[in-house]
Amino acid sequence: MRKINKLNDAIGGIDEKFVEEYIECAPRKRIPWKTIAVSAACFAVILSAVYLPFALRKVPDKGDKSSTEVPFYTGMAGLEASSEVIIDSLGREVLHTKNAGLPDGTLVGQNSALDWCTTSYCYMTHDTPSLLAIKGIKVSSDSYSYKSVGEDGAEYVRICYVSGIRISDMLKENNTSGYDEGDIIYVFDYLTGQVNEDGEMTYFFYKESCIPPEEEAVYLLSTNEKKSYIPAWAKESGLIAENVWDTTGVTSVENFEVIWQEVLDNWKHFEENY
Amino acid sequence: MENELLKKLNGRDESALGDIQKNYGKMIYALSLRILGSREDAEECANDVLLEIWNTVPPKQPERISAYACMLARRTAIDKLRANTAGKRGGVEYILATAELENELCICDTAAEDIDSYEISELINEFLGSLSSRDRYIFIARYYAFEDISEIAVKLGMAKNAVNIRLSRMRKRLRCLFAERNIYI
Repeated sequence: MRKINKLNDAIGGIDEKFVEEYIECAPRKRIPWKTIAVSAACFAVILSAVYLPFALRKVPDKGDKSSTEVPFYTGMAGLEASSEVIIDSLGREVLHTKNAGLPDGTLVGQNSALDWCTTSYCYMTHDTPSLLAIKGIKVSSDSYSYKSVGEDGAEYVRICYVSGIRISDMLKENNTSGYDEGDIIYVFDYLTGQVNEDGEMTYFFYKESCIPPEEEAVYLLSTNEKKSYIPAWAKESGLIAENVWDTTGVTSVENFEVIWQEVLDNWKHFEENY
Repeated sequence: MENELLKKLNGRDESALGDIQKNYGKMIYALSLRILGSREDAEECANDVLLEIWNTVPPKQPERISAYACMLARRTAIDKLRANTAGKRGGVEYILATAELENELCICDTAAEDIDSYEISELINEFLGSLSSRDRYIFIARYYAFEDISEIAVKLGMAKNAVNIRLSRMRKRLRCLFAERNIYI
């Protein structure tokens, strides 16, 4: 028997009490699509194209760049990436990069358009944060990267991104987000990498398909009052403004049009017959 | 409701099947769909699960019909996928989750034919018992129920990368536990 089959069967044989616990913990409340929770009042602020949603506190001196330098090899198309070391509100050194791209060697997740679409349907049927589905093009990308040592002694690099997306089309039926076509919405995402003894990045994980920044893409964005999608180390920095949304999913326009219809058909069939 | 369901099944009251369909049908179908990746196969699987519940209760007296249905759905869907000769690979999340486990845990070059699934289940039970309830939920949602990581993150109000990191750490811990017990898959 294939080894993985044996492992899968073994997981299938776990104690029933664990399965019961999993079922009991699953959210039960269902909210119809048209009554999804509206965004909080602070998202009514419309940002101008040139206003960046973070506060920069410049370092008086250059600082020790070797302690924060992280290689970036893929910038935004046609624009040069530029970096500087700044200090965040906790006094930590941060490498701030404008026109930032993904680091070389980033593991790009498999095309998860179908999963994304299925997930977005789940957003419609769960008690969820606010949801926004848009088409847009990235117009800015700023990253903030930290090095830290984990509990296991390994060195990690954490990079958070705040990107500006100019909205070309709103895909949500009832748009009460305060954003409209032509606006720029700022979206948040982050990566984690592990630095090996040679100082090289050994691991990155980026789930969504990698869309070239010059291409229009479909973004599934969400937000919630607690901003739970922003990890503590980024929140504490003081660099992330309140009005960023979470990049829950990104896919090409072409993928979206094909996959979304399939997902809707699947669920429509289920709703009608079950 | 569970007691009522069990009573109906024991009394061979066919309305029990309608109740099971109403209360757990979506869960059974969704799990089957995530494994099989095909609407038609998932529907067939869901029907098979209902039939199996009817045929096995009694004499089986599951503590909770919901958990029993979930276990049957998983097993039936995976068996159906393996038996499928048309070369179907299964649902996306089933493939991804299985690959995550295989990459981390199935690392031994030699086959471990003398280790059966029951022994591995016992070890996994021990592992699950050592986890926090949140981590346990994440592990089971991903590797038992093949839920999408984004969906797990939404349910728990976590960032999706946080869920990824937790899963990665749990896989590593499980691998260490296997090694400690000289179990190699």
